[in-house]
Amino acid sequence: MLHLTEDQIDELLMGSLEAGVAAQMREHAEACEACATRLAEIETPIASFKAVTLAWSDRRSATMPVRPPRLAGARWGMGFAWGSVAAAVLLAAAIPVLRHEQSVRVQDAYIHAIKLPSANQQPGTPAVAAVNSANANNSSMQNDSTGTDVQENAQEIASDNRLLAMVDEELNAPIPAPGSGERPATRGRGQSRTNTQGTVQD
Amino acid sequence: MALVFNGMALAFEAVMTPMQAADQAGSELDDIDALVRTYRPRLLRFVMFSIGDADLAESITQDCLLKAYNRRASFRGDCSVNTWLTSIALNLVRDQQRLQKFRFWRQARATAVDVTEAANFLPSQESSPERTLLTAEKSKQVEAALENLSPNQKMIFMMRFAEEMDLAEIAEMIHMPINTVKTHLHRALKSVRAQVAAAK
Repeated sequence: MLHLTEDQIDELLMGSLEAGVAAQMREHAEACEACATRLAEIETPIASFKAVTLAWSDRRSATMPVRPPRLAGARWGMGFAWGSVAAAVLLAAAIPVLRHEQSVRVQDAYIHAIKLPSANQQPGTPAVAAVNSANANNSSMQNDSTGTDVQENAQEIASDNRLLAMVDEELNAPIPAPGSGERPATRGRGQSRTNTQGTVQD
Repeated sequence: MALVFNGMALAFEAVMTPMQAADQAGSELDDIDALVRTYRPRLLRFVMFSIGDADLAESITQDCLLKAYNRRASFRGDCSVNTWLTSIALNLVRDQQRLQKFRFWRQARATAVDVTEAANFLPSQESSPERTLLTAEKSKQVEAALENLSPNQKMIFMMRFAEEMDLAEIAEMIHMPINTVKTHLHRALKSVRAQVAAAK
């Protein structure tokens, strides 16, 4: 048998040869000093690496916590952390909901005001009139809703338009900044644009 | 009598179905302390020499064991527990590499294992000072060779030569054709030879 090539030695180490062929090559290497040396030149460093790195990882592993941290001891800590996160998320979610609820009440009142008979309305203060009488007039609203479809649709469109206008107004309304009292802090896209353009003066 | 009993046990193991193997491994996986004791050093070694950062390797190894424990019901028993754990570690290492949370090559040098010190903790047959020194030197050559390999080549080298997985298992785990796995291993072995030659 000829000397083993580098590729053959690689194949032997990779375990990609058939058992019979591998055994034949090992047999040859035992009898041939040159091939034994070449095989040992690559096998010995790998065996040393395996032994030394396992000695290292055995030792390092022994210095690590016995259990993965999230499984042991950290339950209370994690519970508290998750609790805090959940509370923060709930709070963050609750603020816009509460604000929305507030504005929805105003909108409802406005819709009621539109649908109420004109005698119940105070000119110039439709929302206030509605707030005062909306609950008391639920039944009359139901009666109103039995009118003709065309009228109802026109009324709905008109009320929607007014509602949208009111929402716009609400969004663009200046809100006093905390502390200053005078400085007009704004919300809403349109107002922000005017601020960046510098058209709003203090 | 004992011989007969042993023979029967071996025969039983030989005909164990994956389901039975899963049941057997399942009880092993249920005991987190035993899992850590038995598999953590090897897992740590695999991760460490795949990414080259000891602190990160510790963290990934712990994550891996935690994940394995939480997902123990999904272990089907079609491979050994060690191979299954290695596949979880492999995915965690790859996630880490994808996130690029660390500077791979630089840190490999910064947190390299102190081989000479580690060699002092080898089992007793390696304990003569000359032999220990020689073993440490040879191990260093392989470590140096690994530094010149790509992350995939390192992982494949570790799977084959540290975890002793066969080519088909590696190919399946890393989603590569066997020939590509072989090409990476040829490259790794060539790198080891270059380091051995440089040390002469």
